[in-house]
Amino acid sequence: MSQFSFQYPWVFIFILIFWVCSRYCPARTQAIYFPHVKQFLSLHANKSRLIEILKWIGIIGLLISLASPVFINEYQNVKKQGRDIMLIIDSSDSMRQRGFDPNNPLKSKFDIVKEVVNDFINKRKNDRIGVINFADIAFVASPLTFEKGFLHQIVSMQELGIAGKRTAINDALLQTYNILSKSDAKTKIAILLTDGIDNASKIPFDSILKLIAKSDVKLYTIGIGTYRDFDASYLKALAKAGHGKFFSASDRDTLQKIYSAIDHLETSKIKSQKIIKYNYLYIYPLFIAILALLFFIYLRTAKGVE
Amino acid sequence: MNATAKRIVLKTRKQVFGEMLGNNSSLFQGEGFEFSELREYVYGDDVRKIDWKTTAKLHKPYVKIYHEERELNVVVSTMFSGSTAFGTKRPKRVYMVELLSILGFASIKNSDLFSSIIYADRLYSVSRPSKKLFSVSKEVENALSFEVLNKEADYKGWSETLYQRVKKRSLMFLIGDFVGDVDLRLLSRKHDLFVIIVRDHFEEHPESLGYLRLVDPESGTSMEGDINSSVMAEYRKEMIANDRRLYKHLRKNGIRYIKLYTDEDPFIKLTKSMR
Repeated sequence: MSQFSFQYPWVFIFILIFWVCSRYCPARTQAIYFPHVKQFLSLHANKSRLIEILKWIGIIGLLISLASPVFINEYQNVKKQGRDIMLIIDSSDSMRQRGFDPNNPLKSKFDIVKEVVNDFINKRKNDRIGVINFADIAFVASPLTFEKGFLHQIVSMQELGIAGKRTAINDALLQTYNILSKSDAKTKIAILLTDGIDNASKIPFDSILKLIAKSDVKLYTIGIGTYRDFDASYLKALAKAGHGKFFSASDRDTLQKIYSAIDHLETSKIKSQKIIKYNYLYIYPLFIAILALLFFIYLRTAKGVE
Repeated sequence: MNATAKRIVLKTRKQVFGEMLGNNSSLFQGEGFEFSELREYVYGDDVRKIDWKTTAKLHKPYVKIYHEERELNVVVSTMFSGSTAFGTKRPKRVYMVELLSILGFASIKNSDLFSSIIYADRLYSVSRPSKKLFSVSKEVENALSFEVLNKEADYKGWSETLYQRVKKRSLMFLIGDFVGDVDLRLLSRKHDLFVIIVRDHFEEHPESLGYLRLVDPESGTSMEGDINSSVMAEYRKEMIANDRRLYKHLRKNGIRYIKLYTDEDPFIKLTKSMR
């Protein structure tokens, strides 16, 4: 993503000044009256345009280099320092529940979660995002990737019951941490979204907690539905171990807000890390201009102008 | 009267009236005069007027007498276009003034009526025909102070004006550099023309000048650039073409002409060509 522009485009005003000056106040070079110039010579006046052309190449080249043409590379280092975000989505049977969105009561929780997640993916422009779907078992729906189109496709392909009916939060977290441990991004984030209580994991809670505490991954946990549906203290403990936060959402709006809150928590830092790399190009017009001026001076002196 | 004018007047006057060349230096002897009679030579006649053919036949010296129409009108018209400001040795216009002065004094000496007409892009001055020496000095001064720059030669207007203004048949001297479309057909029918082409050597054989600006002294248009030999070769070609055209035209109409360069002494060459 490189962009071409001039740092000081106003310098080009000088071209106009040069042009006006050459038109209306030419330098007093040696001038002699010579008879019959008009009758005999005007036709051949174009013969010695080379010097004029060289002069203008020199002037314009110098002004172009003064205007400092640059290639601006804004995103060069952002990719390296972007985050890796894993979205862990619950697809257990309980997600089939309707009425989560008051405006649209016929939609199931899972559909709403898919929409909200898609929104979130759109917002995270410079991050790699992966999706893990879990119920009885946890599986990687999408590895970490920049491809937003692919992610949207994957998210919309997720369906209820694809991984079973129960809820295996710990297994899903294990998968997530497995993937994130391989990534070398500076900031790694996992967002766990569930509406149930772990009832199918093979991994015990203690060991997963240890794993989370050891890792540098930030873990946000979101419980959706009523307080009866999920184990708030359990999720809180996870979030605390993962240096993140716990949120609970009882309807679509709050869920949306939570995701944008997470989005905000993370974006501010990214901006500060944005590095604009200027690729200065002035050397090329300067080179041409100096060459042209050298030839200009050479030709002029060769023709006997002091 | 400034120094240049004084110098010109004195020099030319001396040349015309001077003893050095004898008393035979009338420029216009035999000009356009009709033969009238033969008569026996008497002491005091110019020996050169003796007609050898008749003398040989009759064994007595005879002289040929021409019908001397006295009070010949001598009109000297100068074309002071801008280009006459040019000259390496001296400006062509100064040279032209010198010619004017010679012709003026010569005609006074011959007791002919002299008048001068200055023309450039339009008619500037017409002097009254006069036989006085003073009028020559005055015309010299007048012509020398004429500002020639930025005046474009109008040869067509020149010949037309002369045709209209000069009523009496005259011996007419046209002085100029004659670069351009010159058409003297009509004028040559009416008057006895003598064309004096004044040129500078550098003007005809220019060398490369290097990088500079050339200003046309007539129109003020200028060109800046490398005035190298190829540019000047083009110039030379045009100049030759112009002269060819001019000579052809003059010959065709039986107009006498002479080309003088600014580094030559005008008097001797002029006297020679007038004989």
